Amino acid sequence: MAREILMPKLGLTMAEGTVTKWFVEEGNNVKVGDKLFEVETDKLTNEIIADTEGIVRKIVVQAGETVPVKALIGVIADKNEDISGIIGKNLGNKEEEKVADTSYISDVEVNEIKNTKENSDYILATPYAKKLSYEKGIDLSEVEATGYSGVILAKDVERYQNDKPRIKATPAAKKMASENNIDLSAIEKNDRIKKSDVAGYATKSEKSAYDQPTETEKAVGMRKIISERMRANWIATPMVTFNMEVDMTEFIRLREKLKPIYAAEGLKLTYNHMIMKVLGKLLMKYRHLNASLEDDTITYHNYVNLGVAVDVEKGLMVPNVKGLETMTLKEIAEETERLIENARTNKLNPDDLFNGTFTITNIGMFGMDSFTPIINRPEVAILGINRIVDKPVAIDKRVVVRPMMNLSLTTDHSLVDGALSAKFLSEIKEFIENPYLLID
Amino acid sequence: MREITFSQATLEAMAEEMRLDEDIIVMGEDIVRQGGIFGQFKGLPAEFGERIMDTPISETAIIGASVGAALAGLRPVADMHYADFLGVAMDEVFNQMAKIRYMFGGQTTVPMVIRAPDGLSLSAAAQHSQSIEAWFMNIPGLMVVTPSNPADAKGLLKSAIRDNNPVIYFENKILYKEKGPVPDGEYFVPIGKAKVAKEGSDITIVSYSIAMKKAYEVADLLAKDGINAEIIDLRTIVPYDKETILESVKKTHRLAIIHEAVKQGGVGSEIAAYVAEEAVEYLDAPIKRFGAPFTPVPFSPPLENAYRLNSEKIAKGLKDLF
Repeated sequence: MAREILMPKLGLTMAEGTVTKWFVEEGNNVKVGDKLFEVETDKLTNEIIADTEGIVRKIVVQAGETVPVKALIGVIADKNEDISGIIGKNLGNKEEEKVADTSYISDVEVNEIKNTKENSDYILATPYAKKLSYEKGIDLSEVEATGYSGVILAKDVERYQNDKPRIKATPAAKKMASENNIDLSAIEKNDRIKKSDVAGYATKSEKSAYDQPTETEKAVGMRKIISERMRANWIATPMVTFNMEVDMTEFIRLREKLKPIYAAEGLKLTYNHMIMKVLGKLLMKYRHLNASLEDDTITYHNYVNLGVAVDVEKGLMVPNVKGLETMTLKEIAEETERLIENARTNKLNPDDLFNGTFTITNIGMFGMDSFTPIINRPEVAILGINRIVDKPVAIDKRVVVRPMMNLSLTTDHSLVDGALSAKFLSEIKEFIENPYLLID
Repeated sequence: MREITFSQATLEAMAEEMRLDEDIIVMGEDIVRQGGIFGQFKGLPAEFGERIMDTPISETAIIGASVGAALAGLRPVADMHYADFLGVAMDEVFNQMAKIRYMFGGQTTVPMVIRAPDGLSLSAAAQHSQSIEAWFMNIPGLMVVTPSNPADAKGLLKSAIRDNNPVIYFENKILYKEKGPVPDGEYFVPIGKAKVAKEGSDITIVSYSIAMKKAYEVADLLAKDGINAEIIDLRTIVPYDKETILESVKKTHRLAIIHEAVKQGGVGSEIAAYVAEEAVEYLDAPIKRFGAPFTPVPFSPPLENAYRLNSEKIAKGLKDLF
């Protein structure tokens, strides 16, 4: 039975998706569970798995193309099945389709492909070996089996863990590498690495590539979305950034007190979590800052979904902590770390990314003292957090050294007036400098 | 510690209990005249007179009368001569003895013991050689014990007699003559509690009754290859000791079950299924069951020999899993 491969709907708000990669080619045999292609949508990447078996007869949407949900992407069918009906129905017979001719694949070849697939698909391992590999985060496909009938045993997993990968190199090569700060693992060689290999590598890496063609890349997937959104936000919003310096003495003291208590429960407590707690308290009061502006409609949210900007390998993601105003500090710490972890391992749900009402972004770890964050529309405000640094400040006419931090608040001036922004920021300062106010 | 035979151990248990409780009576075929086919009742008639009764050759009558006597307040011990003959009295066993306490809402109990000599002997053939304990794993309402040595034989028999519920006591015919250390004085072996007979770290061997001898042989063979087997003597089949088995499997990550009874649908099948259900993630090898082939016990001595458990083959089978 011919089967249409459609652009899946991955989450309530998904309207279109980009095919970023195909794992199969036309003419390939696929089984249930085989990876078909990769879809990127609103910054999330998902691998799509075959739920039927057959031959990939047609790939309609190529890697890099974006199509709406439910659009035809390809067709899986039997070898000689007529699929022109499916193609015609979906593409309106715009052109005479070049359907992959698979009739030349003899039965023998098909069987061979199938056999290799079957062998490589399921890894034979005992339940205990699987449990261990899961606990230790070891990929079973890399473990050598020594058990009965080629089954991976627990001891194989343990041996794999104990065997650290060793790089073979001559003593002279090792010495040269360490003197020149060269990482031996970066030198690709199956054999023992010699001094000449290190020397060759060093020369190669020093040579300028001015006469080589420059690498270009089409902005697809996450990068494309980020660039479109940022541009739209920038053009549509009259943004003002307010900076205010806060004294972190008490905040630091509070964190130092709480840190071991949280650590005992396996939780990491950061200044972000504590600032989020402050925001959870204040944002319900400052309804203009916890609002959305779309066209002429202002929506005052009766909840705080606080977005946290997370830098990931390919760009930036802003998952939000839902219902922040009702959460304890512990819950905030737990949920925030979960979202950050999921963002970095590409495990976020689309719903984690939607319906934010306010955002924070912290680049203090890079030594920043001030910046102008861009609002994540339709939100109307974003709070930038900078580094904490010891500074001389005048207190009661005397110069003392205090740990200071800048807050950079950007607001949408079309909804939030300057005085309101300043008042909001100063109240944040009050809570941070006197965190005992958090108790009410 | 003194050493006595399995048979003597059961005699001690009977005599001690009968001296303490006049309600204990014994019924069976040829037990007064002959002292039991394996001598396991020798001397009891002299001391306890008419409390030891020879019956007509009717297992139905023996079990039926015992159930009635138990309901009337006595504590009967019924001897089946051969476990194979239990089939004759099956309605009395599984519909009456096992069910009456439940049918009458717990108004009465059935405190009785069925003694059933089982297992292969020398060319006793298909109707006098069977091990049928697994049948009774599927009957709620009774308990089943299977001692493997003289000490447990005594302690379990005393527990069975003292218990207010019906207990089937399977005693292996070959084990009767086996000697072993038995403590002086009164002691009990609790029903439902297995024993770790040998501690080990690499594989759990669960066994009971005569197959325990094989378990020890297998463990010795495995030790030659550096494999340290843990042996669990189940002692009770119903209710079997799940905790001890699970605890051991979680430690050794391997499980084998050895019994003389037919492998298919045997006690080993139940234990294997239970461990697979509860602890499959702890298993580092398939569970292995060793039992008799699915065929009636042959009369021919060479065939009977081939039918028996073979320690070398078992050890080899287990070694291949490492």
